[in-house]
Amino acid sequence: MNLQEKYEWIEAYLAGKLEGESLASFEEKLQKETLFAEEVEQHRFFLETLRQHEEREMLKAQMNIFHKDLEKHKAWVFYKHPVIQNFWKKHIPTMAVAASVAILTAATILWNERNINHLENQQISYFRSLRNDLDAVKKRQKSLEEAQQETPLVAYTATAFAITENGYLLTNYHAVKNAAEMYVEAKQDSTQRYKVKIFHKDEMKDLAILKIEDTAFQGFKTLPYAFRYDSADLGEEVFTLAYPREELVYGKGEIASKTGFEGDSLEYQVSIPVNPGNSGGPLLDEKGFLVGIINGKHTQQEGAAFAIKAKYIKNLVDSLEVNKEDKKEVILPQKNIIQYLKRPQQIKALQNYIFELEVYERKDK
Amino acid sequence: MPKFLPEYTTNFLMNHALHYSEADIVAGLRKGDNKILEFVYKQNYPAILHFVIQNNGTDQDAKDLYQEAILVLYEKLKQENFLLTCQLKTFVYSVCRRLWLKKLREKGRYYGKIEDFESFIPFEEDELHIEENEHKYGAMAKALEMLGEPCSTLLKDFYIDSMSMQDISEKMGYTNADNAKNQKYKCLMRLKKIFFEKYK
Repeated sequence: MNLQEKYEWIEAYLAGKLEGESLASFEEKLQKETLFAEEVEQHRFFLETLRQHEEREMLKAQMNIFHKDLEKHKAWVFYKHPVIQNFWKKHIPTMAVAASVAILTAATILWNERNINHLENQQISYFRSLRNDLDAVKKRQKSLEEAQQETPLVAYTATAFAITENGYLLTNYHAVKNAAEMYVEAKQDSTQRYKVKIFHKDEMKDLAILKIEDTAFQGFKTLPYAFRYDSADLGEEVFTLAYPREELVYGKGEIASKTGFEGDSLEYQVSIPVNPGNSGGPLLDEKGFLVGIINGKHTQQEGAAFAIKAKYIKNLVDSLEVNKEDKKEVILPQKNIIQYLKRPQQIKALQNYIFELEVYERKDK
Repeated sequence: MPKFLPEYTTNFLMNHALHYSEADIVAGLRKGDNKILEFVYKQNYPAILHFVIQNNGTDQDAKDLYQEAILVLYEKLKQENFLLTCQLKTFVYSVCRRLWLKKLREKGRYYGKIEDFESFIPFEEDELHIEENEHKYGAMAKALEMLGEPCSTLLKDFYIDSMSMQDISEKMGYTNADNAKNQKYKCLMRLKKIFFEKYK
């Protein structure tokens, strides 16, 4: 049997055309000779590839004809972009309201000419930082001050939460900017109170990293949540935990906008009712991934809060690593162990890492 | 139906949708029904074009990618054990997404985010055998090109169109079928040699 005949034999076998004795001896050879078996397999693969290649080429030629047809009719103009469609459907009413509010606001402002000069100030005043100014305390302090001529401390509270196991916490810059002394307190499984110091602050992003400086501090257990750096979607359910008063308060809402106050792209707008003291509270998505940190609210609009995006928290932490010697100190949590839990269990896991931040600032003389 | 353009355009895109169910389409593609292929092709392209354009691509990119995805779908459906677990359109979109992600990475233009317009299934890295296919069929295309004529026609007539040796010898002007057969053997061996040199 020469080579040509051998390949005819192989091809006949592959085509299923061998019968009787010829088939039996082929199969026997296949069993006994591994080299032959390999040769058969190789030939099968080769022929199959040739056939498939040709089939693909034919299909491509076919598709090119369809394609010409499509091009001729410019058929894709009929593609309705599903996202845009929904976007308009969803937002036209909102936009109408927003537009009328805008017109009204403009009219009011124009009506009172004096206000034009104060336009900027006024808009800033719509944004309210959410540190909990204890006005009453302030006043009392003031009268005390007058009476005693001393430089007493003024206190307010905000929220801070743990971002590392070795005692770094995150809060808002505005909450700590004039701080003289600070303490964090968790009031859950056990009451812990630690003294903290500012480790790093970023006024523009309104973020501050605090460090627990307390001999009693032993380190946290593994943090239960992780950061999420991609952008959260509109309408995604989010929640926050914070200390607007003496107790931990849970708030739930949705991502209402991918930009914050006056289109600030560092922030989200979230539809969570927040109060002073919510500042510095973590904003988590449904699965317990951290998507931001609450930092303010709109004074003229109920239930519109703002949160700094997690991405910028990471940026801040990354910039630390470049700048400073103590780089390995701040390592953000990587693993979310609460993502499959129900909300109450998620909160139980998180609550020990969320603190009431007490800030004392020295009154200027 | 008056045949001015917009009517016709919507017509040929939309009207068929009333006639073919998803199951019809799958069965049709499995059988190699050309009408169904045309329908599927025309129906799904706009979404893919949109996707590619929105993600830094051109319409030529979209076309190449899309045709590759249709081929993937076609080949998958030919496998008997393949079960389509989602809508056809989702499958096509997902394959295109996967292919485009790969392209963007190759070009170094992937910035970590893809803008999506449809739901999709995230395929595993090698689930679609994209690279393997590229390699295999690329090698075969090159080999056939290098083989040249009349060899490639001779092989296609025999192996693809299943013509008899007698018919081939008449068509190609060989003196007899045996002669044609010898010629075919030589051509096949040459192709095989080139192919495996390229393939490896």
